[in-house]
Amino acid sequence: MRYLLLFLPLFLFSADLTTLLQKYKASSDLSRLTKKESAGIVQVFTRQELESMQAYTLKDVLKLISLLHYTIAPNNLYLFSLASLSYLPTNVLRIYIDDHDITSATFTSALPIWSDMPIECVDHIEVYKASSSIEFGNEPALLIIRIYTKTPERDNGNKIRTVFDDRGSKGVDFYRADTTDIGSYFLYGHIDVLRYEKERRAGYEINRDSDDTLLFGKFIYQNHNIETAHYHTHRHPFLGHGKALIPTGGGLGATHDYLHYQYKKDTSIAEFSLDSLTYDRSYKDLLGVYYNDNGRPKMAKEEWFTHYRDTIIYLGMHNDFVWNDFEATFGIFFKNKKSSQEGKFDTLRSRTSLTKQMYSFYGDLRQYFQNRQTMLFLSLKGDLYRFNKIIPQRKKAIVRTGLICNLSHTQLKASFTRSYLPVEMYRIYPDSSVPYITNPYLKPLTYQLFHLETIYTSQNWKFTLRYGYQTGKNFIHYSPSKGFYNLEDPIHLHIMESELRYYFDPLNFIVIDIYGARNSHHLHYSPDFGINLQTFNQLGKWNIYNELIYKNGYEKKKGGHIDHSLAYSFALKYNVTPDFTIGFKAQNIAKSGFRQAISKIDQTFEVYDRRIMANLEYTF
Amino acid sequence: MIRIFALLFTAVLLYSEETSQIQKEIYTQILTSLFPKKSVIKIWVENPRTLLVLNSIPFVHIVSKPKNADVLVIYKNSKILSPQNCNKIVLCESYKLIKKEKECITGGFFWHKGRPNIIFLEKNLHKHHLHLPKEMEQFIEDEL
Repeated sequence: MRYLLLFLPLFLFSADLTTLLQKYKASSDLSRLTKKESAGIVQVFTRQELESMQAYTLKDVLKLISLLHYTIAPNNLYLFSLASLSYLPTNVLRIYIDDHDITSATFTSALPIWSDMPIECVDHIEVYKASSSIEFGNEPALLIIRIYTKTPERDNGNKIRTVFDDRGSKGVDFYRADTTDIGSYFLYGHIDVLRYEKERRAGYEINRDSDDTLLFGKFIYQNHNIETAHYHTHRHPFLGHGKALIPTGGGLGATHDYLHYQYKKDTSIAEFSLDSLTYDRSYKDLLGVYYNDNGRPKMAKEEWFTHYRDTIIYLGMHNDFVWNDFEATFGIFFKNKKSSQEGKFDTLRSRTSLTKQMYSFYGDLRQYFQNRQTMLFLSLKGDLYRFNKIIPQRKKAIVRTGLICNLSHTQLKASFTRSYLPVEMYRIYPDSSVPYITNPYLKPLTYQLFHLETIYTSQNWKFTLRYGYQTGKNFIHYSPSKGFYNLEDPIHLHIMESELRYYFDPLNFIVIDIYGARNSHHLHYSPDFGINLQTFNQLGKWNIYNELIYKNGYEKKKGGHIDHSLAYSFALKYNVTPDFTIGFKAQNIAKSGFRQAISKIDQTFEVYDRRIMANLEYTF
Repeated sequence: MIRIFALLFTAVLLYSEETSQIQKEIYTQILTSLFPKKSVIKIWVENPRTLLVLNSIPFVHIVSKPKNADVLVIYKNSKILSPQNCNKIVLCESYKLIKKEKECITGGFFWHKGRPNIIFLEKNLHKHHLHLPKEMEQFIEDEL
């Protein structure tokens, strides 16, 4: 009941010019969306929403994706689990910053490095579920997160933001954007130290702190666009990876540098990019850390260290064609990925590398009917993978087809996708199988998706109802004796989702997401039902944000019960002047948020701890 | 002509109806504050997207040549600002431009620092003998 009082919407109906400017900004944020309706189930976080939420890192946003739990893994990585299932494989997701894919070669995921990236440089975020990636012209993924950065045209000026919280975290963001006679640019810098509640395990303190540095630059000159970034993250080990899951040291140090060049002319885009990533992981555990030495399990008591280095070169181009009611996009790209690994495991040393080349072509065809009210789409893609080691060459195809039909206030969407997820490179090499038993014959996970959606829109509200059926096979598991292997049994999953958005006006609105999932194996590794509720209000110079995240409880497979969770967060921002704002955010106030169960131990850990954050922003 | 239609069509596609509606309300308030007694305001507009918005205001009459206008709404092209045109009321849609041509431009409605801004330059308001109502005084600046 106490929550309900706080959620009472606060109305503001005024037509003074200041309010009109605020409404114009909110409405313009929506019109800037770059979303592709046919690319999957789309969930958008607009700039207005991100600002009201006082979102600081990507984690603050990704925790609100319905049907998914953005949760902590034992080694202090943030991974997704799909409702009812355990952690999703890392290759399920691809993250883009503007048009650059920040996925690593070794892990086929951006999460080992970018999982908690700062987002002050971000304009808006689009999340595509049940996707195939063809529409974005890159490698396949089931979940695509597109992060769009701010633009020099709108954000010309300077901004500084400082954040600190009651746990001792602190961070500074700065950006400068300008348009000159020659071109325009956006420069951004960030540094932070994030502290978390210290938990204890068997009398030992568990540390999950992290610190990050991000530098980002965007330069636009006529048809040329260059983006570059340097991101470094350091993370404490949390539970680590050892036998006791009680770390006595270790952690992660990872860096990603990239350069992305894009040339746009009329309907054609040509791109080139270069990525360099390093990933240093060390584990130390009270009882030691297992590793594999050419088929023999061993225990590293003193040192377990791996260093990965990725180099990725990408070349691609695509072109859009329009013939009356028929549109098509055709593209090709080439990727060369080199992953090198060095390891130290007490006295054992390992060193190896693998190069993967990927050739891909794709086409996306769209036919419109009934005065463009109905669209049929068909997307096809062919991928060829070649390796420089004795690993079988692979050819894979992706098909996606569907329909979008607009009927007065209602939109109907249906799609079918048959796709796959490329196997992570660290699972198929090195030949020596150190520190894991690798398997060069692993088959990629393949999946089929059927999705049906109806969206009803009226003047003030939008209601969406979705059903999805997914079947996947060739899931990859690891056992210390067998190494990586494909599971024979397919897993079927039914999902149901609804979203209601009610707008009192562009500045005051409510969002309610309700979702549920059921899998064919009746597995319960995570909550299978949840509700996300957000309210956004503006009252004069005050921005008020409320957030309630409910996840149901479940019985663990190996016995034991995980209680339901209800995390309430609240953010308040006061705009002292249009250039200076002071904000406060209280996260998980009642300390009753989602707790992640760890399979090897009978202990749960709160994923988003209780914290009170202060936030100062100044533009000049 | 085909290019104009293409521009207008693209502008319609890119811009949501709601955004245009709010923009229209903002321009209505700006223009009625500048010309409280005028029943028809003749405007020349550079940006086709703004042209669509202004054209939907009942008391606005869009003209095709700057010399026939009461107000010029410029977007990027500073070459329009000839000495003759500087004698007219000039509104601009670029922070960069208003800063560069502050001797000539009366005011502006533009994006700056991540948000839309309205600014009137006091010196140029005086030059045109314009007096804004009290609720608009917060948008008057001495300098940029």
